[in-house]
Amino acid sequence: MALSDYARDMAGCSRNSYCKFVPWNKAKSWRFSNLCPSITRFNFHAYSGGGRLNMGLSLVQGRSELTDGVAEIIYRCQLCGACDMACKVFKDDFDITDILLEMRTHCVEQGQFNPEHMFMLDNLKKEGNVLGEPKAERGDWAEGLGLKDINTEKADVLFHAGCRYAYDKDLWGVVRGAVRLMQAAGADVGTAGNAEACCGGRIYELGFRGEAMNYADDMLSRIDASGASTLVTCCSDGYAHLRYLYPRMGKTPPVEVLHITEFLSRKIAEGRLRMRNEVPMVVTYHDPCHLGRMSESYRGEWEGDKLDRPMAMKRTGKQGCYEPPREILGSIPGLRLVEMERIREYAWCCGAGGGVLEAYPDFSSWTAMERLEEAQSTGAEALVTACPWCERSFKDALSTNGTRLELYDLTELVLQAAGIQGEGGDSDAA
Amino acid sequence: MLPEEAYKELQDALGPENISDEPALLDAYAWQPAFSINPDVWTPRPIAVALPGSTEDVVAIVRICNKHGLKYKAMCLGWGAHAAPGCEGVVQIDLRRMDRILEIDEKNMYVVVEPFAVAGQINAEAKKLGFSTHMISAGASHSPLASSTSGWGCCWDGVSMSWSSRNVMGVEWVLPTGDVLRLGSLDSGLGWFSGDGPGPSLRGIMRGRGGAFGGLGVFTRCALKLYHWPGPTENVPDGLLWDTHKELPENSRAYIALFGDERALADATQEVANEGIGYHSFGVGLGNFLSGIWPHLMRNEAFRKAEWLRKIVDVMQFNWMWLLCANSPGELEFQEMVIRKEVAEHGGVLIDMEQIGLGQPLFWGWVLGSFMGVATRCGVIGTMWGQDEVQHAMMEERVHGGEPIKASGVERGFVENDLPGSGFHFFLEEGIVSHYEEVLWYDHRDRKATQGVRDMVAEYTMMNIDYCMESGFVAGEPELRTLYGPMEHNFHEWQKKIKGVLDPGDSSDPTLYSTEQEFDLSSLSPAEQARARRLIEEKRSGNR
Amino acid sequence: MATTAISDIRKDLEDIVGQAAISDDPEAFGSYTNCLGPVKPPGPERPLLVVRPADTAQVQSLVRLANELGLNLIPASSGAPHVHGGTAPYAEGVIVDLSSMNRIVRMNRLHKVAIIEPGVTFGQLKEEAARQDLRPLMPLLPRATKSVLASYLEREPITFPRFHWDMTDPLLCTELVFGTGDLMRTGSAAGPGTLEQQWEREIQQKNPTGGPGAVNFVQLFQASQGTMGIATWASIKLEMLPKVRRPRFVPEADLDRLIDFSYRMLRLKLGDEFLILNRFALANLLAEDPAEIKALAEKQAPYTLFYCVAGYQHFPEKRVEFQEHDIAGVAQHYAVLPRDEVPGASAVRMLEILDNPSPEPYWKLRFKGGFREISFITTMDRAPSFIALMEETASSLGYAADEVAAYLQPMMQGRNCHVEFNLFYDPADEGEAQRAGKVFDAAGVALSDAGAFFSRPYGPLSDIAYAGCPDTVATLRKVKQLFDPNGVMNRGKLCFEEV
Ligand code: SF4
Ligand code: SF4
Repeated sequence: MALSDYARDMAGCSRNSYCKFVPWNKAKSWRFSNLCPSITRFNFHAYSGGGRLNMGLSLVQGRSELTDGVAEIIYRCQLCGACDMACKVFKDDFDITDILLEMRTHCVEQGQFNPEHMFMLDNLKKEGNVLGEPKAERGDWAEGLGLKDINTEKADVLFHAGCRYAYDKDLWGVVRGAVRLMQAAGADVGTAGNAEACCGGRIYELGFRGEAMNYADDMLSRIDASGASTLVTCCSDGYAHLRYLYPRMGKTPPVEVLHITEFLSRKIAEGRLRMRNEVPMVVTYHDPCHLGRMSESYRGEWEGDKLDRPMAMKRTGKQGCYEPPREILGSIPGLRLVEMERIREYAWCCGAGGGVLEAYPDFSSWTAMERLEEAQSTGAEALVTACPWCERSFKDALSTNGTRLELYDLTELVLQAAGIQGEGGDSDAA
Repeated sequence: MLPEEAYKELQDALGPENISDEPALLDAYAWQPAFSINPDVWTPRPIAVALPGSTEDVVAIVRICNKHGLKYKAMCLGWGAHAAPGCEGVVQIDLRRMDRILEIDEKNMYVVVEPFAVAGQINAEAKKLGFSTHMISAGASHSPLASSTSGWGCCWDGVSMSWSSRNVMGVEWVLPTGDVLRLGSLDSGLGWFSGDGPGPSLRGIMRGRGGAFGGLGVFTRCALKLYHWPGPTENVPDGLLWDTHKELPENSRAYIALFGDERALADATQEVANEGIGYHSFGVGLGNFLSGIWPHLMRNEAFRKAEWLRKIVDVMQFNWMWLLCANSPGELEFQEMVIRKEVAEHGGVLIDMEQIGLGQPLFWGWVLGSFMGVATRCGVIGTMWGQDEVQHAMMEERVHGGEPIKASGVERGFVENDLPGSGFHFFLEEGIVSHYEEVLWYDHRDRKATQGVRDMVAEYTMMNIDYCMESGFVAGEPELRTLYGPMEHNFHEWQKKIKGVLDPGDSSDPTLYSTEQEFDLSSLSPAEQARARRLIEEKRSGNR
Repeated sequence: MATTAISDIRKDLEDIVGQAAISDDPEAFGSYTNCLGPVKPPGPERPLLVVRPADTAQVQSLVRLANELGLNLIPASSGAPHVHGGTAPYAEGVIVDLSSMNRIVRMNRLHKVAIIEPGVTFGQLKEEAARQDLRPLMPLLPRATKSVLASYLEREPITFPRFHWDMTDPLLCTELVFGTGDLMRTGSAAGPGTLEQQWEREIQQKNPTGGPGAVNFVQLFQASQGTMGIATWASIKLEMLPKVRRPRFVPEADLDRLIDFSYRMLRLKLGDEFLILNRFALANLLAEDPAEIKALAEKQAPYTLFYCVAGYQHFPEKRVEFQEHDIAGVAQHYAVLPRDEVPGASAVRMLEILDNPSPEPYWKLRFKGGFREISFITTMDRAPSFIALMEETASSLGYAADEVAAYLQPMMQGRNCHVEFNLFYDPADEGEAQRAGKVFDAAGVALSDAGAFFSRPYGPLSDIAYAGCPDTVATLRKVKQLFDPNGVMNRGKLCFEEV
């Protein structure tokens, strides 16, 4: 597809601004009823989902040119998918997210990309991760966990750590803890160690679609080698890409893909993991975009008039992974969840996605601060999330701001509740 | 092109991040498929967009534009062509950054807002204090300030919450010259409680039934009436649309009545309105509903040919809905007694919508403004309407004037086949007048549709004239104004004079105010054209 | 003017209205000039003539003639006595007395509407409306000769805040002759089509939004004291004649409490007639004899709210029953006690009084034969402080504070409030008259300084009102210039001295 193939879809925008606000049934206050970080921060209509379509149409109709300024607008967007969801409350004959992705590919094709994004791509090419960390250290995080090496042996569950978890030492506790919990629940888990590479989703989002394909192929061959029936990841980004972008590229993973929260909630429900310790805390939960609305699976392409597209082929954001994290929180004794105003498919983004963290760090942290303020307004002591990018984004914002709010990955709370303490501690899980 | 010097001055005044002349960004302001009788969806591209953050910023922009001989036009949410520049060379003032709710006076029941405080947001804050804000038929995604100061503004809740033009109290207004005028008590520094006086009310030059639509400067703040909400302070249902679930508040009900003909409907509903009954009181054509939910179904050949279905829809055309939110069980009982009696006496059938599973989505959809309005699944919604008058006059026009035109538009393939559905009606206050809008669903991407709708505008316009009614667009569209002016005491000349004294530099986008343009009758057949000319002449001569 | 002799003017006027409709009888002049209201110094001019047009065409011709000759026209619709000074010429001119245009053109029960000419009085309208089970929305005891149209055009408050949605109420559509002589019909009456053509289409001329198009001409004419032009008819909203009514007094010493109760009642749209009076104002309404008034005032609670709930065409008893039940709850919450009577009158009697225009003499003349009225808009919660200020000002100038009649009329469903003070004096007693004048002057300044909004200022109050809003004045003058470029309409009124 080329951007011009979306001309009709882009022209479908009726300019009603639903893409800027939470669906009106869900508006709880003036303060937290904005939905799109980009328009909320930059204000010109072109920064909204709808405005982006209008601008895209202008480009393909030759009414205007793709300048540096336009490319900047295109990339000042987290690709959080909120606009798509809100528009679809009524309008479902185009998919804004697909168009926004296409606009980035268009930019790349026209040679319009960010130096920071180029840097990510170079990193990826060199080291197999977008962070530019040495390929040879990719597997370090798993040291001493006794994980199977899928390069040499088969495992039921292939664990994909993802770039951020593999290299961000601040977050190793989460990913190691996740593995411990899986093991405690009796899972046969393997990982690819240094052979693991980026899932490629991020660069797809940046517009480097061809490169992304290669990484998808890579991932599929690892899955194949592992012999696993299930792939589990703690990375919401990777999870969404495996469920949506991969099939869209014709690379459907031949395994069940689970986010760690899905895996753990199942195990808790099955009684394989017992939440025995009190975690007396009032928390609020941030739905990561890529775990929520963006993780809806690929539904296939619809030929012809999209108005006639059956419901089953539309992604509305409602089928994201919203319940498992909440079920887990609900199962932890002593813990109380207070919801923020913008949750589930209409959650506000953490700010990190779509290459914004790398290219526009100020915008990214502004977006995160908005969320932190919302979290604080609930009266919760801690903000819980389930995505390394969200966590990084919130951590950075908190460090610059002095906001007093504790931050946890959901896995960390499960570890506490399950009584699996620290590295190498004995499991007292059932 | 914006002169460099002007750009520089705007940049200095607003900060570089709040002004742009990037063509593709500007085009995002020129895409206006709704409320346009121009078959082209693109409106004139502004030469720049400015984002003021305060009244002072607005003053600065207006003064800079005046200094450089530039035109400007302000917009809030920006839905519809009337929000966009009507001519070339205009600086679009996007009021997005001025989005605050400044004050809610609980005792005196008003809220003070900036232009971009959105109805859904105001409503959410108001409901926490036991109030509702009037919500126009565009739904929650609209600016109540814009609707109150600048044009139109009626809706389903009119029976309990009046209409926008009647809900405005004090106003802060940046005149086209850049001077700031405050209306009523505000100008004397006494607060927002009155927008009128001393002496003649300058609200009279701000707007009438229509408004200046950005042709008379920029409105920067205003006070709007709030109305009692007897329901809970927390109003978030499950679901987003038809999937909405939440119990109705205490003493609330959702009813629909079906009548056999328009007369029965008009008589019964007027009697009920006279008693001031209903939180919302309105009629919506079934086809209107169906088109909103299932446009693809509407397009289905088999469905369209299902005569039995058309018959069912026809039977349900004369419907009326009451959403009741009473303050007490006694009041609810009284309201239900009156409704039952009137429906029965006029041979109607009354259905409790909760019993058929539609009560909750309908009730909350309307009360929260999330249900109808600016968003449609298929293309855009276009509406045609005339004067607001008593229910009986509106019914006459609908049944004998509007519906046949709609049916023929469907026949000609211009607009979606909603079997053909009727439009919607609602009352103002205790039934003073009723409003009726014919609804057209069409795909603005389809040239046949947009051109066809333009043709239908000509037909509706002639119908309105025949039924002695002003056109709903009359304040906005230059050609309608030129057509109607001589039939209505040359009001267009008076508008232009007011514009002249307030805007000597003609800097505030003049298109929707003083531009002259002949009405194009060419889409009508020769016989229809002859009839139209007779009609126009008859009505003009009666006016002399 | 100076260049045209009166006799020539008279001739021209005769050509328009006919000989019989012109008068130069000084007796007749008196009723316009010797008005009971305060006028700006140096006092009113003597009118040249009084003309009584019979229809819109004549009015239009008169205005056109005035433009040709530079005549000053002073419109008057009500009969004597004129109490606000609106008809007192501030410059030499011709009174255009519209009182003989007094037809009720049309009335419709189902749509609760009447079209009336300027000379129609409340008594006349009430009687006619009752025949159709309707009633007019009355101000507080208007003079028997008061023009309904003039009252509504002056934005005089009605005693029914529930039906007072916006400040134009109960005015709907109008026919206006601008100061230029141009005709405009407003609202749905604007056209297309004549009234008769519109009636055939079931149009009832009810649209209240003042158009056509983007201007609300009615708002520009309201409270203009005839300075923009002349209204020759208007449609007005009527309400249903109640079948059952239950009036109540709520006497109360604590005005703040009464006001809190009122806010809640109005928010819930409970009560049709709804007003608050201080003891002296109440006594002046209830009694006729001065001594009786004094005595009765002493027996009243400091403040009394009067309201009436009603049932109309449908289940009137039921309607009254639920309202009474709901009100009982509100009253309990605010710890006030609605009652059937106060000393000297039952609530039913009070209702009878409010239902009708004032008996002769006008109720404000009862106590002493003369009065000074000072009225303004504020919000209800601020009203008590204004009452205190008014009483303080009065007593500081030797006027008995307990003889200040105070009337609070919530408007716009409780969103703001008309506050009216009446000071009574004996016109024959120069000292008293002077004192009342002094209190009036001092109170005007003091109240304005304290935040009173003189929204329809008469006489000297206009100077005070306009001093505070120069931007409004500048814009009003531009508007006036459009509608009356030659300054022929009621010269010198409001802020239009220089025009
Ligand atoms: S993208 Fe969708 S929600 Fe946004 S303006 Fe366009 S139609 Fe509306
Ligand atoms: S994807 Fe997110 S940031 Fe980008 S336009 Fe849509 S809502 Fe805004």
